[in-house]
Amino acid sequence: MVVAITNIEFLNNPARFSDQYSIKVTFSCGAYLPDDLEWKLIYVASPDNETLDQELDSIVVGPVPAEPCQFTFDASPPDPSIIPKEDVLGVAALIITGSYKDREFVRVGYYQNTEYDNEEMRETPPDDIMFDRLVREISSKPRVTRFQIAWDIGPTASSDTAMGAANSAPVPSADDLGEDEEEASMKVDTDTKTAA
Amino acid sequence: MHKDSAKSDQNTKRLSIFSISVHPDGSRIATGGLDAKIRIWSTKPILNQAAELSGKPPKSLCTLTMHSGPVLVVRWAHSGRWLASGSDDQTVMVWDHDPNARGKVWGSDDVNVEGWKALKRLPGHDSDVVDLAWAPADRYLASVGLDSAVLIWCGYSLERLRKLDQHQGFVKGVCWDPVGEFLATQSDDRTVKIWKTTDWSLESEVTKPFEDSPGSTFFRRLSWSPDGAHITASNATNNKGYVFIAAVITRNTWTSEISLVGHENTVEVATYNPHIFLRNPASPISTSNICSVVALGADDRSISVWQTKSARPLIVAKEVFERQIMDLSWSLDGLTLYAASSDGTIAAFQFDATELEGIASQDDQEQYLAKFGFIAPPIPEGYSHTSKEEPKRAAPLQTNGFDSRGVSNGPEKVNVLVAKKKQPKRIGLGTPNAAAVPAARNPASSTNAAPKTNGIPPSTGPKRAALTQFNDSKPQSSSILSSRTNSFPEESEQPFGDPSETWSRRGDLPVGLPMDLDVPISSISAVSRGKRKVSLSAEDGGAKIRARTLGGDRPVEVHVAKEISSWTNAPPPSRSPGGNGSSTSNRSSEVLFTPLPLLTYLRTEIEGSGEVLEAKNREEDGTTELAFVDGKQTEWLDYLPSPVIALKATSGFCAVAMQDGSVNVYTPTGRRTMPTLSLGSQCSILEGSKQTLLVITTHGLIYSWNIKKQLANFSPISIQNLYGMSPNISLVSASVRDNGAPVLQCSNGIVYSYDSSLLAFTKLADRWWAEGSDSWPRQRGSNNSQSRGIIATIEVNVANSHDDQLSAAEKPRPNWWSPALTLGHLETRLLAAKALDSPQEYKQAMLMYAKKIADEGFRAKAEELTKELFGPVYWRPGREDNWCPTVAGFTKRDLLKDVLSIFARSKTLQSLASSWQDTLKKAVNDDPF
Repeated sequence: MVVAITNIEFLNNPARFSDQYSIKVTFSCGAYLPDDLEWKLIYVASPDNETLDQELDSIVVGPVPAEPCQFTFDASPPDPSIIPKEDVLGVAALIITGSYKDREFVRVGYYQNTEYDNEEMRETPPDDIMFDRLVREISSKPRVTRFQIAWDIGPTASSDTAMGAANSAPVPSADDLGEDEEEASMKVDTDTKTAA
Repeated sequence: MHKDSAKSDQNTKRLSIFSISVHPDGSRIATGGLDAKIRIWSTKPILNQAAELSGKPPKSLCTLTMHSGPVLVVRWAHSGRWLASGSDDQTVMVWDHDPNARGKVWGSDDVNVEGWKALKRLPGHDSDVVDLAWAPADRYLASVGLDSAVLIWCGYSLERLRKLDQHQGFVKGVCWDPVGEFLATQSDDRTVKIWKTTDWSLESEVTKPFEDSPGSTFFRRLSWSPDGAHITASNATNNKGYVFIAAVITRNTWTSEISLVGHENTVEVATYNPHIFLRNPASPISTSNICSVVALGADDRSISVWQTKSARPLIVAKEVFERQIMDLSWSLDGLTLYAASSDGTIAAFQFDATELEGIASQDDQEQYLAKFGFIAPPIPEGYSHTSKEEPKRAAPLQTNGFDSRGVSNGPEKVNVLVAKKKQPKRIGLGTPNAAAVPAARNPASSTNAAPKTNGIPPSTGPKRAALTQFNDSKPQSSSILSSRTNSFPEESEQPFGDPSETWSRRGDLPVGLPMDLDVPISSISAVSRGKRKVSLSAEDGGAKIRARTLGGDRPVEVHVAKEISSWTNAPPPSRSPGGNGSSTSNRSSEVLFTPLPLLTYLRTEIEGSGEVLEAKNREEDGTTELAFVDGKQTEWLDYLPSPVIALKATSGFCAVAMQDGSVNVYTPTGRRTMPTLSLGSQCSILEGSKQTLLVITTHGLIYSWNIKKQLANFSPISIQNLYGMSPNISLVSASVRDNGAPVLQCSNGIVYSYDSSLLAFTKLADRWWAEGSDSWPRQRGSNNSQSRGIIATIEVNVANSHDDQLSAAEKPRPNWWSPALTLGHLETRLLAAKALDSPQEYKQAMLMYAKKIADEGFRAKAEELTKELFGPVYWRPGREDNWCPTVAGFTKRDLLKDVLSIFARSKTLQSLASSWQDTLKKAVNDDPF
């Protein structure tokens, strides 16, 4: 895995259905990539009918250094006219794909919930969908599928070499972890307590 | 039950752990496993129960997910600053401590308490990387793999230095000579090869002990003794392959005169204790007064530890694990041995210094090794693993707790890339956007002011010292060979006089507390005190109890079901949830499933009606009452001679299983429709569907009856026949179809049925198909279980129960992989739909199958399928023939019509389709051909 996503953030969430998507992707890259990485955002209205999938946008970034990287990606909302009426409300899927040299290496799925912005319309939806009254919310939990692809990077492609572990951070004993850091990991502490 | 383990995220199934490595400071271990993850754990909670309970330090420190295939090996560098890993994804990764990388891991529930980041990815192997080893002082890193290659990497720059390609088979083990002069590798080509580190030429190869060694092992991990005198190699045999041994190869003569005999199956891994031991602790260190300690792990699920001065193992730990041992690792102080198994657990064995008699210090070892007089070539300028003034103990996680001299340190630096709209053709590479250019390389790496301490200990004597040998080892070997072929020595023969006195080392490792796993150890009973099998699982599974498969929701309002510990006139049932995976440990005895608990109250509702069948086992007076209730009205009742343990009611009948192994079947009005069935053992699972009743007894016998016809659907068959193939599968859930076919979901990701005409278990769905079938259910769209057919339900269950599998990346596959698996899957689905009598799904699968054949243009398959569905050319409706004109409720020729219309859309099958369409039309119109 040369490129590993470390975070994806939807910058406007929740938002109106017709708003642009604005997505900040952070990833780490294990080798210098001379070619572009291509990213796509796909809206899946009907899980059973792939032909109704809408590719909302696709962008490229590159060349990519062998370091942590970040970019922001704006994409148009789905075209409401192609979404079957019965699939507009409720849960749809958003898929972000990453590929290199036309080979997909990662696919991240999110659920998007679409509903009316007010109680009355949620209770009794109008017969004709009023798209301007719809709001969307994207779940915070991604579902990540990684694919192994050939990156075609020779062993020499990355030139920044380590000079030895002397330059690496010292590794303090793990025995003391959890004793200090009140700020950093309160959450961790509670988690592990319940686990134990 | 604290036998939980590492790995599996949702704790439903433990995934194999392939490798384990202890950090040089002993405070953490790394593990690598089938889930493609590397996990780093603190050892304190593993070794010390108080620490575990306090949660400080947390057990799980870090999860690293950059590998896209199973992680087969993890190894800490001697410096402790780097971790190397090798994976099925063909890469080696080197990881570096990163104080800034702590926190929640995106895309998972993991929280990293300690930060580690990928320092460098080392591509170069063309197949799985199986083993890795850091050279003394981390001068080199060697990796070996299934591409038959041995790669040597610079231990400083991590550049590839050399590829050694003289092995003729998978290379599955690698180790370095502690002196630094040699490298040893072990391969499926049945050799151990010794390489010179000065010019990487082949020094020697050892073949004799491996002539008959089986090629099926995961690993052939070998180890070099800390005194440099011997290599212990795994997977060797004596007596033409009948005796499994580890072969001890002597330095310089490269012959193997010594065998470690006793394991009952192939030895996967040998690992030396890093310390030299003195034979006579009172005498000074010298070639004739030293020995070493080596641990072996084998496919017989046991671990043995040998001290080379004695002919018997120090300890043998049998049955600690349920499956093979995959890796072993000694702590640097030589007192703790960690073992990892493919059963998904690890174990730690703690020794007291008095048990490992004569342990010498690290300094003694360095001095001793210096006698070999090997002078390594100088280290290139500027390379170093040691900082000048190493902070003794950097206060952990201060604001700036990392070494600021570092190459890539500093507060996290992120390159901001600019997203561009995709253009059909990019115009040259030109000058990319300024922000997208790799930010100027860290100046630190070139102007590196790193201290230039020499990492290699100073060598003294210019001449090679005398070779070390076991002066008196010959009688040992012969005695092992002659007298002990297949069993470990009895306790009385152990070289350690009274081990039971010395084994218990720490007061905080209590004996007999529930946390302390009770593991039978054959040779030394006291061993269990020194060892504790622990949970690494971050989320302990204790709270998660599977929904019981057996009928009967537990009542909430009116009656409270209590467990009855003893019934007046019956033996007390053992307390344990029935039916599910917990039964595996009982496999060896007759009883496969733990008996169902005896409850004071049971009820089951008839689906779609308000009617309830309930049973009360009254503890007070020992009576058992069965009642059929509609709303508030009791429709009928009965009293039974033995307490009820399970109930099932369908629209067609009510069935009651009793503790004495009998089953009553009533009509909906409470008449006995069949004589009381006496099954001879207790019912463990009672399921029904319309007129079909399924019973699985605690002995694993499966019965299926048609209640209406009062006939067995097939002769009772033991589920043991299924278990026979794989010792670790267990039944997860069971149900039955209207036609009597059982549906048995097992923990190995396969759903079985029993075919009454084939008299065999059959596979309905198999996780295998997820490996490549296009038609395997994907995660999304899986929430409408109501409308789903039985096959779809089964497949989604199998797919969901192995969620990890989906996220684990795909491997490179041969050319025809996907078509072959897709067809195989659809064929399986067709047959399953037929077996379970699910017509709609049969038709659906048939059309998908036809489409796949059409897409691929497989003409012969298309033609055969067509003929099969068409039947004899002259067959006409009403005609009696051997040919059955229908399948799964459909007329075959009607199905054919749909199939042909699919074939007609394919280029290669168009002509075939149109000619058969004509034929079909004629047959329908009864025209002459």
